[in-house]
Amino acid sequence: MTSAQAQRKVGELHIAWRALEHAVEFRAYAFPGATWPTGFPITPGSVLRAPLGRFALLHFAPGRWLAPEPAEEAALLDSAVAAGTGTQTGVGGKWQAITLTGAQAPRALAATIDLETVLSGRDCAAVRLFDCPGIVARTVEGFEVWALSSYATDLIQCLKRPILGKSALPVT
Amino acid sequence: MGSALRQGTRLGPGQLRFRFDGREYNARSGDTAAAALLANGIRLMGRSVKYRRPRGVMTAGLEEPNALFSVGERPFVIPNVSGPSLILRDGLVLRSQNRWPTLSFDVASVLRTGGSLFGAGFYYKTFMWPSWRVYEGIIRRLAGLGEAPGDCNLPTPSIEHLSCDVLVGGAGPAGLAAALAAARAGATVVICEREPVCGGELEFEEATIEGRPSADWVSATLSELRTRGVRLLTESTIVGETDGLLIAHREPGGLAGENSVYRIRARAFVAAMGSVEHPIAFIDNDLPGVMLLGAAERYLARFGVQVGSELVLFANHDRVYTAASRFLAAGLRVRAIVDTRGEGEFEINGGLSVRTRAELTRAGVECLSGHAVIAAQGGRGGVRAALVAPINAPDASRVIACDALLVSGGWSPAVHATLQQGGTPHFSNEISAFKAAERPGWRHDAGAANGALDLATALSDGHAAGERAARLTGRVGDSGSTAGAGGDPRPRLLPFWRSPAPVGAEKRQFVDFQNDVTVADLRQAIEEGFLDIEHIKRYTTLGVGTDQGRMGGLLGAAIAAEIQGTSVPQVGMSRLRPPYHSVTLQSLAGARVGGALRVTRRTPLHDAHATHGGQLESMGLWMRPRYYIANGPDAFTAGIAEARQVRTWGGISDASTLGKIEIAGPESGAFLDRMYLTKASTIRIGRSKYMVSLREDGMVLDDGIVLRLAEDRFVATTGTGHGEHMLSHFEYYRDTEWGGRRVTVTDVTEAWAVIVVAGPRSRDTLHTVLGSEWQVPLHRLVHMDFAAGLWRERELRLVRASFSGELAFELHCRPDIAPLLWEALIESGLAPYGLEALDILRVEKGYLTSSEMNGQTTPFDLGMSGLVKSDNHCIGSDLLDRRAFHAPTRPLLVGLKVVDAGTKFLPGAQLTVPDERRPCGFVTSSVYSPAIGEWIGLALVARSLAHAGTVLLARDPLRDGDTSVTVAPPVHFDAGAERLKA
Repeated sequence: MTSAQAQRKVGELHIAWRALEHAVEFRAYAFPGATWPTGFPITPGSVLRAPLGRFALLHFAPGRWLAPEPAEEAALLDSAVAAGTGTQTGVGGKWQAITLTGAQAPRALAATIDLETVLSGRDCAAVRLFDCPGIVARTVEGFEVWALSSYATDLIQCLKRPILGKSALPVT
Repeated sequence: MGSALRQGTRLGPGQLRFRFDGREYNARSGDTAAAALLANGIRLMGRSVKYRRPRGVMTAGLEEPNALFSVGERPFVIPNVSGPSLILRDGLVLRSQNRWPTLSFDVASVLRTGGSLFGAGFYYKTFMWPSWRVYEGIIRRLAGLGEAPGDCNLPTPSIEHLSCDVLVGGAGPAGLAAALAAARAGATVVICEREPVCGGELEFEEATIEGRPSADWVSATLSELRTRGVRLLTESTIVGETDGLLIAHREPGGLAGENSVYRIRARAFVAAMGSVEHPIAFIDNDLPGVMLLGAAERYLARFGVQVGSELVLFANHDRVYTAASRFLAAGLRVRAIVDTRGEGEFEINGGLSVRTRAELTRAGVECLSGHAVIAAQGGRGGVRAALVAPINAPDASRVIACDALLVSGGWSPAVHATLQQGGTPHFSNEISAFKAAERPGWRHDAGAANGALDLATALSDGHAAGERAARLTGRVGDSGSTAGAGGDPRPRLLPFWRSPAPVGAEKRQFVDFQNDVTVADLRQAIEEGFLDIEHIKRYTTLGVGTDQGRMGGLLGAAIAAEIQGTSVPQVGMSRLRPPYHSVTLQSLAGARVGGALRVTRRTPLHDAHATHGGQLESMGLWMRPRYYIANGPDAFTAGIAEARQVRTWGGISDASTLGKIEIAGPESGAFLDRMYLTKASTIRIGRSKYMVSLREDGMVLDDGIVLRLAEDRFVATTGTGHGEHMLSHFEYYRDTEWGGRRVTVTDVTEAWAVIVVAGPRSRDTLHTVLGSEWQVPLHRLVHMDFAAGLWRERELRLVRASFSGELAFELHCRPDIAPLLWEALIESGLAPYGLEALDILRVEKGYLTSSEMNGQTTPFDLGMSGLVKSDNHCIGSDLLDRRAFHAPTRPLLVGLKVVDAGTKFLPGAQLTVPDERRPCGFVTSSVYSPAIGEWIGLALVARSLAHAGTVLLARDPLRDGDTSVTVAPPVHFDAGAERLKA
C-alpha cells in the first residue's frame, strides 16, 4: 500500500486510507496530575476537533495523545512541552488513517469489536481490530481508524472480508 | 403420503430433489433432510458409533443423536450435519455415517454382538496384548463421528459483535413475552431463536392467547417487536458463553458454510430456550421407528410427515393424550397409549387425562395405565411391534403391532448455555429435571427452561422475566400485562426412567444414543467404583462428544441414582461443556481464515521486495524476504550468492522490522542506565552504542544499539522479535518502578524504515545516491557514529553500524521515502540480500540473535563479560554475582567447524564428547560459509570443554546423523574487524 490516497468500494462499505507523514505523539510524564493548557483534551477518550471537524488531538489512552496531522494544535503541544508536562515525538509514517463510510461501515467494524460498548461515553478508543492495534473514532459519515502502518494492509483486508464473503447478513 | 400432497407450516410450494447414499429422492421446499427421508419411507438413516446398530431419526431438532449426515461430495464434505435441522436445497448430496460399505450392510456391525466385550471402559482394559499397535489401525478407522472434512472451502464466516440491554434466548411463547415486556419497558432487545420461525410449540399446539389463535398472537407480537426496534436473529442458537459474552451461532438452513457467530454483550439475559424431551430406557429402544413423541408431532405439523401409520405411544405424563388426539385427527391410527402412571395416580393428579382417555378409548385407542413398553421388536428396517406389560408384572407381556413407537419420559430444561456461565443445577421435583440455579443479578430463566411446561405459565413467566431484566438495566417504562392463554394442560409428569428388564438385557437399554451408552454400562461403571457422575461420564462416555448430555444426561443420572439406591439430586449432573451444538472451527475464526489466518506486518518496502523477486516468508508477524530469486533457485544457493556479493562488492537489506523506541525527557539517560547493562547517559550526542539488557533474573533479554539524538532524547533499537516486548518492558518500569521520572517512552518502529547498506562499495554507492551534502558525514563517521539530515526533504539518519562485519551503514528514513531510496541504491549497483545471507554473514562474525540469547544465557555465557560494569546498576545486574552463574557447568558461546571437509551440522544438534552419550551443549546456529568454504556454526558448550581445538560430536539422529566438529572462537571471519573499520 502506498502513502498516496487510495480508495476501495466494497458493497456499501467505502474504505479510504492514507499515511500520516507528519503525525506527532505527545506523552505525559505523569497522568493525571499536571496542569494542562486550555483546550487540551484531558479526559481519556476525548478528542480535540479543529473548526472543520478535523481530528486535531486524540487522547487515545491515559496520558497519550496523537495529533494525526498537526496544524494549529502544534502550538498547544509546544505549550504543553514548555510547561514540563511531557514530550512530543514525531511519528510520521507510523500511522495510517483509514476512513470507513457507507451503510456497512458499522457492520465491518462490528466483526471485530463491540462498537457501542467501546465508544460508549468517549470519542475515541485504543483497540485491537482483528488483532491489529489501532484507534477508532466515530465520524458523521462513519468511522475513522488510525492503524499502525505495518498492520494496515492486513487490517483493511480483514475489514473487507465479512462483506466480501457469502455470509448471510443478519436478519433485522 | 406423496410429497406434493403434504401440508405443513414449513413447507413451500416448490419441489426439489436430493440424493441420499447415492439414490435420488423428491422433497418439498422447506423440508428438512430428516423430514424428507421420512416422507420417502426411509427410516434407517445412520449407524451408531460404537456398536454400529441401525438407527433412525429420534428428534426434530439439534439434539439429534442418530441422523447425522455428511453433506456434499468429496473433498467438499461437511460431516455430522443434523438431519432434522438441515433444510434441503435442490441437488444436495447426503451420505449416512458410521457404516462400511453401505448403510444396510455394515461389516463392523458384528460389533453389536460383542456388547459385553465393548462395555464401559473397554478401551482401558483391552487391546493391551500383544501390542496396541496391532489394533490401532482398525480402531482409528472405526473411531470418530463421521469423517474429517477435506478442503471444505467454506465461504468466509461472519462474526458480529452486538450489545443490548436484554438478550432473550428463544422465541417461543415465553421468549416472545419476555422480549415484548422488555421492549415495552424501553430496553434494547436482541432475540436469538434457533428455529427459522418463531413460536416454539405454538407451531403445533392448539392454543389461544388473548382470545385469539396463538399464531395470530405470534404474528402480532413479532410485528410490535419490529416496530420497537428489537433485533431478531433466527436460526441462531446460543451455544455458550466466553469472556462475559454470549455466543450465538447462526447456520442458515442448518448447514455450516454460510454461518455467522454473534458475540453478544447483554446487560441482562432472559434464558427462554425451552426444554429437551428425553426418552425412556427399554430394550432395543434405539430401533429405527422409535422416536420422541414431540418429534413426531413436529414432523406432522411442520412437514405433514406421518412417522408411521400404526402408532404406540409410551409416556409418563398427560401430554401423550393430547398428542394422541392430534395424531387421530391427522388420520393416523393410534394402537395404544402406554402410560406408566397407575389408575390411582391419574385421579390424584387431575381429571383431564381421565376424560381424554375416555374419548380416546371410544375412538379405538387402547389406553393402558401402570404399563410400560418392555421392548421394541423389529430389525434393521425398523420397529414392528411393542412388547408391553404391567410394570409390576413384566413377565405378563403381550405384543402390540406398530410401525412407530413414540416415547416421552419428560423434559429437561435447556440449561446448557446458562450453566456454562458458572451456575449450578438444582433438581426440581415438580418437573423431575434439573433447572439452573438463579442468577438474579443478570440471568432470568423463563418458560420451559424454567420448568413452566404449560402455555399460560410460560407466558406469565416470560413476561415477568422480561420486565425484571428491563428494570435491571434501568428501563422503567410500562411493560404491559401478561397475555392470558389457553392450551395444552400441564403434563403432570410422574418420573419413570426405565422399563423393567433382566440384567442380561440391560445392554440393549440405551441411555445415550450418540455414544452407545446403555444401562449395563452404567451398572458396570458403578460396580467398578465409579460413583461420581463425572467419573461415570468419563468411564462410560455418557454425555460426551457433541451430545453433552442433551439427550441422555438426565436419564443417565436418574438410572445411575436408581442403581446406586440414591436420589437423582444426589447424583447430580455432569458438566455441560460448550458449544451447545457443533460449530465449525472456521466459524470461530471469522475473517482470520485461509491466507489471513494470522496477523501479518509489512514493511514499507514490502512491494519493492516482491518486485525484485524477494521470497517473502513469515518471521514472527513480519513478512520478510528470505532470498531473492534472481540469486538462486532456493534459499541455500541464493543465500550463499548474496552473502558472497556483500563480502566482495556490497548489498542492501531491509531492517525496518527492528524495534525502535524513542526515549525522551530530562531523565531519559538515567532511565536507560537502569534498562541496560552499560550506561547510556555517557553516550555523546551523535554517537550510538551496542547495548545489552537483562531480565530481572540476570539472563540476557535483548541487544541493540542506542542512538543519542539530543541531550534528552535517545532511540533504542531492539531485535525484530523483541520490539513489543522491549516496549512493554520499558513502559512497565517507567510506569511503576520509576513512575516519578521525567521520561517518556514512544514506539517509533513504524515511523522509521531502515535500509542496511553493507560491503566494501557501500560508502561510494551512498555517496552517489545521497548526494554531495552527505559526503562529509560518510567519510567522517567512524563505527557507531551517526549523522542526521535530510534526503529529498525528508528526515534521514545515517548510522555507521554493522551486523555483517563489513563496512556498513544503516539508513533510518521516513517510510514514505524508503522505496525511493531502495530503488536508487539498486540502480547504483547494489543488489538486495535476504535473511538467509544475513544469517551467513552474522554467523561468520559470531554476532548473536535470539538463537543464542534464548532466555537461558547470561552475559558471561555469551562472552559479554566485558560489558558487565560495577559502576552501573541495572535491572538484573544484582543477580549476576550468583555463584551458579559462574559454575563450570554453565555454557559458553563458542564457534564450531567441521572436522571432515564436506560434512555439515544443523542448529539443534546435541553436542557430546565423542565416546559419551550425555550432551555437553548444543548447536545454536549453523551455515555454509562461502568465506570459509565449510559449514561453520555457533554453539553453547559446557565451559570445561569450550576450548579451541576440542573435538565434539554433533548428534542429529533424526536429520543428518552424527558429525565431528571442532570448537573454535565464535568469530570465524575477519577476527581483527579490519573490514568493518575500513
